[in-house]
Amino acid sequence: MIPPMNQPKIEILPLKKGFLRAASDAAHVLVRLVAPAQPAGATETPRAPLDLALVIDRSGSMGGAPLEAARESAARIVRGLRADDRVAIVAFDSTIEVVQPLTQVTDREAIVARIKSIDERGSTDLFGGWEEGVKQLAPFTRKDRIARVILLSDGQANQGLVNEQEIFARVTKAAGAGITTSTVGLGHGFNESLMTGMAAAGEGVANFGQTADDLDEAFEEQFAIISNSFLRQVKVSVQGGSDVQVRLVGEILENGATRSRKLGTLPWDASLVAVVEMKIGALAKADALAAVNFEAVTKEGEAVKFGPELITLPEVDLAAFSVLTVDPDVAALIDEAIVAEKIEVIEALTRGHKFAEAKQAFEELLKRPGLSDWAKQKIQYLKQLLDEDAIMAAKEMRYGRGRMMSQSKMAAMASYSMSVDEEVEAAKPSYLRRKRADGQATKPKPPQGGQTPQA
Amino acid sequence: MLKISAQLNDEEFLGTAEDLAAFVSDKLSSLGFGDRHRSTERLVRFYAYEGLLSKPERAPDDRRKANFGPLQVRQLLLARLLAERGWDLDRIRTLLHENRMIPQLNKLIDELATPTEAEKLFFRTRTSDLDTLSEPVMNYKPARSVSPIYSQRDEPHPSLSSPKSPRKSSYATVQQLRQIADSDESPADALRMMIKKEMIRDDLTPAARNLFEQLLAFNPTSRGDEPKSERWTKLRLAHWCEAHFNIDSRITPTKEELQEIVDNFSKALMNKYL
Repeated sequence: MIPPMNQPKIEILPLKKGFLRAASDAAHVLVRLVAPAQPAGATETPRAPLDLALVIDRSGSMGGAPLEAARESAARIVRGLRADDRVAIVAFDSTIEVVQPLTQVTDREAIVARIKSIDERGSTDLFGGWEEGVKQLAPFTRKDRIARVILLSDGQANQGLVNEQEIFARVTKAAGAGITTSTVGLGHGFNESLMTGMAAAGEGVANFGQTADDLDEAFEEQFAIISNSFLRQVKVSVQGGSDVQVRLVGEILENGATRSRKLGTLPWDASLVAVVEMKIGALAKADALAAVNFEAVTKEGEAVKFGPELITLPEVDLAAFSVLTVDPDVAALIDEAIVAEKIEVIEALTRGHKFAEAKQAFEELLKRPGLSDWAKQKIQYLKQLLDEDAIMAAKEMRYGRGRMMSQSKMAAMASYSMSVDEEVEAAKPSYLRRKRADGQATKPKPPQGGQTPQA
Repeated sequence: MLKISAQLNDEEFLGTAEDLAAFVSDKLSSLGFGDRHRSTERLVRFYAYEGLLSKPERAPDDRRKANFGPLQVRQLLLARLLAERGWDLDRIRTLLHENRMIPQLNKLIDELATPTEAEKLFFRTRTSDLDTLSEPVMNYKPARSVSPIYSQRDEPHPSLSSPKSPRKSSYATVQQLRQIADSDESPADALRMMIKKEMIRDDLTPAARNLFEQLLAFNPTSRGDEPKSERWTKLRLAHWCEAHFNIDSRITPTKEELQEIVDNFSKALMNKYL
């Protein structure tokens, strides 16, 4: 049960504060679930202890840099854990090896030494490795601890269970039983479909990178979200009123006209957003254009619902509509969702080797009026990457648009339309930072040995 | 509710394998765990041989006598709890080796006394006594006897409605083995086919899966293959069950030989589970 003073707030923010009946253009509304600030005194409360299973792919395809990155990342994670955390290390190829059964993090260097001993071998029983990670944690799951599997792999599953949908179903089951899954895609040719799908099903985070330095920020973000989680498994759904067609903007190719979406974890003092697109017909009722609902699970595991919140707008005529003002911050967030949707189309073109068309689509996207500085930077980066490395560009598009859609935003509705300032971004909690390149470190690399993400 | 580790009252316990088995059996019974958690002297010796229990001390008055103490009480109690939930011995052994001190074992006993939802999903645990743990002992109903080969998962086992039917699955397997023994086909191939078919099932206990995997690891000679150099292969079906396979294609296994395998297999299942 959430105390009344800690209830989240649903905000309905239309792009324009009025609508034209039976207009050919759709109306857009930004919907936010805003978490309260962490109660006074609770800010000093440490996060719940972690039970972590680091599952490392040691198959032949991970040989060289990817395996080295996995080992180094895992070592850094272990070094950043607290003494009341527990960690298990599982390595897999065609066979599954429990390198370190779940143990209290008392002797970090002994665990790191075991991680460093993992060498490359045969084929990839990815599901078997993940499942062993879950088994290491399963008997110990408790409400006062956080259980998470972090899979470090190139996702090239070729042994054991390889059907993606079946794997996602098992990962979903584990998340429902309290063991979440995050994935880290390693190497140049990793399977982003499997890795992002597992993280989505597992209520975790999907990241990718080439080196341990690239992944430090990802882990820092992941642990920060865990530490500051207010609600998890947040899901938004929207229902259209009479003669109103609604959909959530953001993913068109994968889900069709979607009316519900998983938004992930909502940290304290942050917000999760969705953009509702409405085609308003002649018989629509202005006081009930659509209804928005949120579902979530509290930290204590209790299912909670918020809403319904009605979307209402005054009906205006064409003259009045044309002079309605637009809040630039609302416009920037709505535009981000629309851009994410367009990037999905460009990603499909890239995967189909239609590079010229993809580049053309980027050009057109850049010409879009009112594009925020942040969106412009992102698009320019993706366009440049498409010229340099199409495979990696497709991966950046997949992870980048996923992040645009589900990354938590600041609770305060401000500065979304402003230029991206690196210093301002760095001062934010890691889970609110905007990243131009998802698979690369933004921080300068430390001279030696890298840093330890603080869990 | 008092933690289980606080209810052991075993500080003074020092005894033989038989004493240890009786002590832990009584303790589990008084805590509300069913009869199938009972231990025997033979089981204590088996667990000690398998490395699940720390070495006992020699009795000062009789060097041939081994004395078990509070450490082994906790090890045996955990091993019985977890084995009955479907954990294989390797996993239990690893856990016990990682936690050799009494305070660590106390923590584990309290933490692992009841299976979590995740464990039930991913360990394919048998019907557990967990629901009874928080209830007074007098209200405790003996656990339903579920087939050892096919464990309960999300849906109730179809055979649970009848008190005798839980044995069906095991008997069915034994019957299949008997049919193989009577078959005109290559018995080894038929056995492999049967095992492969059985392994598709997703309700196998880890113990049964392990058994089947060991059987599959044996590569038989089919009719027409080049003869193998070995004349006999000794196959360990489980720690308590060993089969001798004749794999020389020049000598077709006799029905008696196969019957022996079937009997051993059947006996092992009966002794272990039924």
